[in-house]
Amino acid sequence: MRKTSLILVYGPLLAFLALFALVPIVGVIFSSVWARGMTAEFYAQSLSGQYLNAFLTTLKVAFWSGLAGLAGGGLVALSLWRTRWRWLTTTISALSGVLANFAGLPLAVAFMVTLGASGLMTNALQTFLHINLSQMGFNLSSSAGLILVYSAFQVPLALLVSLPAFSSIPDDLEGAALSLGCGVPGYLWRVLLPILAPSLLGTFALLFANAFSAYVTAYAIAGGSINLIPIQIGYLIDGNVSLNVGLGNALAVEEMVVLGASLWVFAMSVRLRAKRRANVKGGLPIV
Amino acid sequence: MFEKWLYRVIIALFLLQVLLPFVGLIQFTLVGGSGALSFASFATLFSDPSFALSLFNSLWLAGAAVLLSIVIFTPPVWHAYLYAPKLLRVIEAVSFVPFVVPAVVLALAYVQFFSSGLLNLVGTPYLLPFAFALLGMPFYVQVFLNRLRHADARAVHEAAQTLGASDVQAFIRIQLPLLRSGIINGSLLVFTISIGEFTITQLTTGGSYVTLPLYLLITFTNNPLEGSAMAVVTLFLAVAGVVAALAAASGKRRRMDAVTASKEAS
Amino acid sequence: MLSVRNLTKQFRGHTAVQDFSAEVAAGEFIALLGPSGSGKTTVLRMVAGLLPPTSGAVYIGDRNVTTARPKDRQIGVVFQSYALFPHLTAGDNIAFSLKVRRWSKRDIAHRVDELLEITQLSQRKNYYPEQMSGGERQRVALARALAFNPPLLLLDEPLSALDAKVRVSLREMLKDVQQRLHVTAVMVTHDQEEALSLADRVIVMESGQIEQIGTPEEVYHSPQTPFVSTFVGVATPIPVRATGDGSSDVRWGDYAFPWMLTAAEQRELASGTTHIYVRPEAVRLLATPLTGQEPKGEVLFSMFLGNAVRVRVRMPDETVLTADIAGGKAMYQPGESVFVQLYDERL
Repeated sequence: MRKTSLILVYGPLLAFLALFALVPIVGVIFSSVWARGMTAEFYAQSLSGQYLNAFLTTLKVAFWSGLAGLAGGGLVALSLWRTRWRWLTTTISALSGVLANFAGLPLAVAFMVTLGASGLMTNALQTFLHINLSQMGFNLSSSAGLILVYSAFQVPLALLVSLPAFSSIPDDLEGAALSLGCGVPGYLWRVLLPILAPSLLGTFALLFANAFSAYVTAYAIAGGSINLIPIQIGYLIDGNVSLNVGLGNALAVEEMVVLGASLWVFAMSVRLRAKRRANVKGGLPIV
Repeated sequence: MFEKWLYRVIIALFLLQVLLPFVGLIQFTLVGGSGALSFASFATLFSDPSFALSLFNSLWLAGAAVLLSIVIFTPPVWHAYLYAPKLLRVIEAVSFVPFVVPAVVLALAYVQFFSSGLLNLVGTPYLLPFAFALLGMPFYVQVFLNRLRHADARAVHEAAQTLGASDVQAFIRIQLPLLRSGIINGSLLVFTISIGEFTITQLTTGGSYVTLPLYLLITFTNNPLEGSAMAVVTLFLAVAGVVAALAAASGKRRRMDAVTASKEAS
Repeated sequence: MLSVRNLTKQFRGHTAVQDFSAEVAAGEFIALLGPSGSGKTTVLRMVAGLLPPTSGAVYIGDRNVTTARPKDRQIGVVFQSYALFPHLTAGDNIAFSLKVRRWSKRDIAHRVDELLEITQLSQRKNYYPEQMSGGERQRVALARALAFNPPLLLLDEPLSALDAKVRVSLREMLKDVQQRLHVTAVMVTHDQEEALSLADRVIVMESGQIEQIGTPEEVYHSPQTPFVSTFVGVATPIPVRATGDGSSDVRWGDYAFPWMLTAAEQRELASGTTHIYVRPEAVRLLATPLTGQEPKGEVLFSMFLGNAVRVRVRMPDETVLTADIAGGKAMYQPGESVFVQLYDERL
């Protein structure tokens, strides 16, 4: 293709990425180590006191909600796959897509309302099970509460991401396993799980990254009372805390490192899954 | 069999877990204020001029983001797929930037980078369509690429060339109609993300430019009833959109079968 | 009308096509036959203009088209995956090349109907590719490639994706259409039965090079290289030496018999031994020896092929011979002893 056409094709993308991604990010990384000279002071600050707490809390919330999401989503994916209800699977997939992407804030509102003082769930628990949430000290703005809310959209996300992995299992595999003597639970545990393990690990990495970087839900539900890295970064932008941009940059870089590592795990799992699939199908490419 | 029932229970529990917050939301909206059924909260919402304004803001920003995505992402992905597969892998990898650099971090970067001089875009909404396009990039690229692969775009392009079409003709008459569904589905994702985006909007404009999600939070903080009415409306729109898309997809299939059936009967 | 001269294609690391030259006369049907990786599809794509050669030239008539773009070469191409435009009906697919050339609506409609009739697809004119069977799609691809009357038609394994029975009936239609329209055709295939039954001449390729060019009879009955002998049809290699008495006979153990040798085989024989490649039809099995020189072998097993029985016989020097016996005794039993006579029909 002619030079000018190539510029027209790739130019906009390059300009876009340079201006809105590359330069700003490099700027952040650079100014996290620069304050009238190279310095590590921002990183030192970021790994102590409330910021260290924030890091640990974020890790905790991301881990547990990721695990809950994986378990829940994985089980539902398994159930949908085994029952082979095509229409239900399509519908649920579409809905999960919406839930995962779009409904963060409305969902947070829904949770606050349902589990709030005059919420449906609160009343139901009170009336039917005599559980008084506020007496129990249950607080949606705590890390436990947040884990609960996050899990609500980690499960659909996990479902969406792991469903294709189930679909790629050839039908004959179960027949082969059964003919060799193991029962259905045996098949699930010894054949299916090992095959799906890399995919499930990748899904967990994705869920973990998703929760670790979440801002809106935590902000809406807990506002100032929860100590998470994204929230802290947000404060430093808003100027709520004394404007220490260098610290914010350091926190941002740390966040990027964690997310980068998670994404790397996810990418590895995808590659491993492709290799496994080729083996399962006798080495022939899947058309 | 026990197994089948176990799966049904699991699916039922899942649906319950998904529906519960919504049911609670609707219940609160209709009953929460006075303890009796009332649509007052909706009435308040729809008569609120700020609601309409925030809706308008969200819509035009989302539209701009979609336009940007189509124009900026489609040609490179298409060209690289056909002519430069190694470059395609690079583009794919780069498209995952928003996963490593999430909205908060982007907001932090933009606030530092775009707040002075020629590029003083912070505080204005004009930064947002670009930010939304960036956030939607991985989804658009993946969806469009899937379509390219599924549609055997390369062979079809070569066929058009051997039949005498110039590159431009082949692209417009053959490639675009072929890839249309990929472009539309990708745009849908970008649109969805843009409508629901809160973080960058709030942190770069300081809350001075109110889009739908921002208005939702403000309203809910001041008036939980009206806020939850708004949440209901938002969710309803999202679900309605999904239902419409599903209906359209299955409708097309049914129409195709009808054509075949009628042809064979004649 | 097609002249390919010294076409070479090198990729980083390996040479896909080496010095490929061939002349195709107008109206000829040529088959490019070879296994995967032999370079045959690469040659086709270079002729079509979809892949630039590293060196060499392509002439159509007296026009040097080596650097011309596909759309300027006036060549019809049928792709292995058909590459039909899914958003267009069969009729519109066929009409595409004519619309691009700005034919009048009337002429287009006329031509489309003509082609639909030739390929027996008139019923399917308004169908979309996804509503048609594999065989029908293949015919649409063919009709589409022929719509603008190209002097040259290239086909890349057009029948490989089809069921056996469909393949056979489409093979006949392909030949019929080609002859009726007087189109020069070059078809790439790995199926030697297809190549032999359709082509006027066959070019056998392996590892980027031409092994032999000839009519189907020549390629089958007079293979020039061991590769051609074993790739086209079945052949058993048999070690022979010269008889030393000046005749054109060869000697296998104690058994001397007349045999037509290729130039290469003759040269090798002069310096000792060579291998000849014996087709199954050249083998006769006898219950009792005729001249007493015939070697004795043991039947391993026999297979019923329909019009012949294929027998595998183990010989004393461990060669496993494949023999096709037309008609005659029904089946040979494993362990049975037979005497082998080799008969070269070309002589």
